[in-house]
Amino acid sequence: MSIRTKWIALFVAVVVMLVGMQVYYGSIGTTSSGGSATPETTFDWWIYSGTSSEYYDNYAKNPAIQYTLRKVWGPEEKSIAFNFLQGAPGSEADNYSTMLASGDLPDIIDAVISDPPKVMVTKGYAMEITEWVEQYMPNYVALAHSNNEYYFNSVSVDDEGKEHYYALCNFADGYDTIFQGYQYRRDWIVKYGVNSSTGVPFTGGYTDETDQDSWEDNVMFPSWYDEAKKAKYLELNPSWDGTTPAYISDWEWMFEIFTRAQADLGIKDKYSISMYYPGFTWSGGLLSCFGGGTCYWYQDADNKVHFGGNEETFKTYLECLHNWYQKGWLDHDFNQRTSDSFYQIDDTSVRQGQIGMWNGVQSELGGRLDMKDGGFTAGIFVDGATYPINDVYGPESCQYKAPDCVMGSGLVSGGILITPKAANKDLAALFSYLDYFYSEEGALLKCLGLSKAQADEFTENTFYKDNGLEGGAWFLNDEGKYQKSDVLVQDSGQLATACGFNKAPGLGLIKNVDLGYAPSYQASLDRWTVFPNTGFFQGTRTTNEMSQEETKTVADLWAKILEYMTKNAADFITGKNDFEKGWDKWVKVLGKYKPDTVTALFQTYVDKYPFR
Amino acid sequence: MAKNRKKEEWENNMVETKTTADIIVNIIVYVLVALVALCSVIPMWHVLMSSFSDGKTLLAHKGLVFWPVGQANAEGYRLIFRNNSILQGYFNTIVYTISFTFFGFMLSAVTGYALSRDTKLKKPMTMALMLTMLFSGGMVPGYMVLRSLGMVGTIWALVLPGCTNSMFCIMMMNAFNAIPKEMYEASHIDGAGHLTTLFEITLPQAMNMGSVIILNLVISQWNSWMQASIYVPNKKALWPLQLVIRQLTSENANFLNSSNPDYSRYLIQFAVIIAAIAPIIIMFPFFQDKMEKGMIQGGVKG
Amino acid sequence: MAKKNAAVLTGSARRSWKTELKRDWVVYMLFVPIIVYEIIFHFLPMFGIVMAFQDYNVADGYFGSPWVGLKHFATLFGGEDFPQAIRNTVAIGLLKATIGFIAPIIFALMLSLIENKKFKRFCQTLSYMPNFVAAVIVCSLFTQFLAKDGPLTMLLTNIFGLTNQNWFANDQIPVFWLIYLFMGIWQSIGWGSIMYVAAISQISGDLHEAAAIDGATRMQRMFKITLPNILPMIMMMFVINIGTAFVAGYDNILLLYMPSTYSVSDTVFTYTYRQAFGGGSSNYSLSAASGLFQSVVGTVLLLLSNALSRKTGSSLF
Repeated sequence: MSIRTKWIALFVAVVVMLVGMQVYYGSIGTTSSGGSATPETTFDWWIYSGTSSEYYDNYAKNPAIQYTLRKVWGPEEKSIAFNFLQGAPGSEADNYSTMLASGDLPDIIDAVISDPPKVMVTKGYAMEITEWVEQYMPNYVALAHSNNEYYFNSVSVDDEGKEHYYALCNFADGYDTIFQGYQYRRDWIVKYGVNSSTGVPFTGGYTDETDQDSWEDNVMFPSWYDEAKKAKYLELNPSWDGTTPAYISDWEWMFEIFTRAQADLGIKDKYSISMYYPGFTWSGGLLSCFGGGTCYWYQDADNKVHFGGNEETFKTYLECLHNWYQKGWLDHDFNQRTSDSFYQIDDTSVRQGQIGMWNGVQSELGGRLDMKDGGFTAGIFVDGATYPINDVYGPESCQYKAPDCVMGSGLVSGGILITPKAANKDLAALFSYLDYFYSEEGALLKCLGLSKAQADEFTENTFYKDNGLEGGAWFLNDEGKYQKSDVLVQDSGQLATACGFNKAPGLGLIKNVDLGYAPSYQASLDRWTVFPNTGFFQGTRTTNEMSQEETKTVADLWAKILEYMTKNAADFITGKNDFEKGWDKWVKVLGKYKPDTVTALFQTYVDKYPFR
Repeated sequence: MAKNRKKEEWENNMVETKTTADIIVNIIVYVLVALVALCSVIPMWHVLMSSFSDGKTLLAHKGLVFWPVGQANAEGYRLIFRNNSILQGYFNTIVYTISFTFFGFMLSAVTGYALSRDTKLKKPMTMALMLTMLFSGGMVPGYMVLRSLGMVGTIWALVLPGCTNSMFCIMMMNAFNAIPKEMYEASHIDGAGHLTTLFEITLPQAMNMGSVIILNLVISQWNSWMQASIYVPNKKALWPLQLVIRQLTSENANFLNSSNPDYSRYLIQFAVIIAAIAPIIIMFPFFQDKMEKGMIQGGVKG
Repeated sequence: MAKKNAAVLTGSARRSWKTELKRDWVVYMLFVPIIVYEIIFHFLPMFGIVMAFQDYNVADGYFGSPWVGLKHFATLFGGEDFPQAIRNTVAIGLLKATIGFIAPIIFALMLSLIENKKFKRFCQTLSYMPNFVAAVIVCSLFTQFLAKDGPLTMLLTNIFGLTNQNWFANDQIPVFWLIYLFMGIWQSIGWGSIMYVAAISQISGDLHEAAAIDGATRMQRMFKITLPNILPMIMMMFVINIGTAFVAGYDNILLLYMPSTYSVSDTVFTYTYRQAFGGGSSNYSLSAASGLFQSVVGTVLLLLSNALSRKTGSSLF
């Protein structure tokens, strides 16, 4: 065979192979429907992320979705179908911008990374949905008007007082748990600590060797025995009973115990607590405990906007850390750990059991870090702690104030946008369908999944049987709460995500849901959300309503300021810079950036959308 | 061929005067080359050993891993091969690489040959190709053009765009130009047309340049995932290997945010690296011989 | 007269289209695939370049967005951090084009000096491995290794006495550049040397034999025979490299840099990426302008280096 023939043969072979692959794989179906859906009732829905591909490779196969699509919706009782589109992981943002830029819009867009709803409508990517919402979504309208936070974050009121709806938002009926928070080795407190009032060493331990959450002890923190402090704290957090740390002074009492423990166990060159490498997190957190606010712009209790970068709170916070640094309680290398996330600083030392207190994730609570190899983690019990109240440092205005800028979700989030592409489709059916998820029954399907009754009824779908969920994804427990099935609690993967239709906009059930955790575990999680976020307004209606130029102005200015702060705040902590002249210079430099222009800008929006 | 065999024989048989300088140079060279090989391999070894370690112990481990930490297990691998998306990704990548390389090489060779012939289009085409090197419309316009052709969401969007560029065409043109004119004249006298000349006579001679191009094409397509993420994000069955790997790693990135984490998921990020490289490493020595032969066929000419 | 004769000899200038097509219609046919290809994939999308000169917004598309001329280029060059980005780009590019370029050559030369075939083949195969690892993974590996107490850091501390620190947080001048250079070399030294090794192996054995008989040592043979023979290939690769060294391959930096090291790690590409995609909505026009700037620079460099290499006798075109 001549070479030429070889090449031609190869060419034909390659083309045939490609065509074959295209025909075979290219047409694998992706639509989900339960009945006789028509093109007018089939909607393309673009999702950002948050679904699991572990159990089914297309979101359309989610059992909760399939269950709801079996019914008919809307005044004309139509069947609906969805075609879920999702960006490839790691390039969802690229996928999103290509989609928008080329005009290839789907019918529904997950609003997670898009511009604020009003901007999307102005730009032509989304449609105003007021008429549909008011006509077909009674549940949504009722919820949106039921409290200020829902109202100001979902309804846009124009100058004539008329209400406009641009996006369908998620409403949560309580503050959700967050995945990270401060936690400490309570077993060291028990072993090396002494009751500050009686002088008697503490006792405690696991009541059940096999249960990593079954810890009991008699630890009481020193601030409980100070009547004034006790009273002041109970005003801020009435559920406190003295068994958990409340104040900075409690934390410092713990640090001393940790230092003793480390000396006794032979742990060298370690510390009690580390900090995120710039020295602070700009959303607040620990910083906010020193008088409220944060180093970014925030609103105080009177809805007045401040720029916190040059205020007393930040200065007091840095003074506290400086003191911890000098006493050796604060990790001397914190500034070097630039590749660690703020909730996983020096993770290997923590997991080796060498550290006393850290900001970590929930999988470290209880006895879960015990490596069972006889090392430093033997007998470990980790308990979650609330943000401490400052009672030691700075002026009086910085003491005994609850933190108001903390990380945590608000009650209103995300949602979806409807694009002009859907204008000619059967929107009555679509909106009636979506309204279902704002009722309690629909919300259960969204948040948790099918109950036993529903799973039994839904015989066509074997997902529940295949995964051991014959008892349903949830059940009603003795206290009248919806409790997550044990199988889901024990599961280490994404079975829970796979059960519910979590990408649907709807009512988020928090208050009446029991996640099925052990009491001490749940208590730790609750402690992390004791103080809600009322001051940090990034991501709320205040910032979402700003125009694109304004958003860019703020972002550019903040980038410069943050760069300066990141480089220089750590110097105050390590002592390279002093608080007298150094702080004056700091204030001066920040003043040069003119943050007050942005303060005024934010104030106009906060006045319009006060969400407190 | 004969030349090289002779060289080998000579190398094996020759008696060389070895001065001390020679011996020192020898040692230095051996050590340096070994060092390079070691540096290349150590991180891979670390990843390989980590992938067989126990997840929980590995999380608490600091430093290089020379031997599986904790109880050795293959859980990481079990998790990634649980469904066949990785095997599918492998298959797809191989198909795409073969196709991409084939189309690209063909186009470059044919164009290069055409450019090397004395025609009226020679100058304008060269200019046009240079122009494409200067300017490129970007991702979105490309997407829009392909969309109007109906290629979005199909396999053609993955193997055709970018398979050749002006540089490759010009390189092939140079390779063809380097073949002495006598060859062309001789084949012309023998009655061969352009196509026969191109394929039977001159292409084998231009293979050293051709091998460079083929190598480049293979590598660029093997590691690519961006094209697929733009054009076939919803068709998992068409995803190349790297995209599947990205999904696996990003899905399991937050495995610690649960009350009962499966620490074996930590192993996934290591196992995917090994799964992606292992077949190549195993098969490569076999291809290396063929490749070097291809490169030797032509001569390196200026 | 001579001119006219010369024209006759070269021929094409005076032949008409009809005769051309009759003689060489096959060749013209051969042009068709590439013409189609370029039109579809390059010339048609080129309309997107206008985005660099407009205030592009998607609702108005390419035909409706307002024309702003060179405004984006002014924003690009006028930013106060842009000169710094240029300096870093030039520094890193220079390092890549020189040391990064030479490394595979040196490796190939060293391989050619090795007598034990098995050892040589073994080391070669091992050296190829890093090339197949994705950039993201390489970056995360290096971040781990060069962090405080990381394996590589400890090596540097114990052997060379350098302070134990997180090297990626170090913003002193050559540190980041050298790390980045080393990463590039680590990943490409094996693969990059393939071509040189092949070229070296083609050098006629007779030459070596003759030189050996004349008493030349291996080192002398390497410098006087091997090196000059692969010089044409080196020049060709150099030309190809220059065009890309300053323009491509900077996406790794996106994964490695942080605000405290912007002064050494910010490059033109990352700078405009931040401008275009950081903080709020994306600015496609700006990133298009930056892309245009970079490809023009790359091409100019390519042409310059080609002209340079022509002087040594071999060039790309």
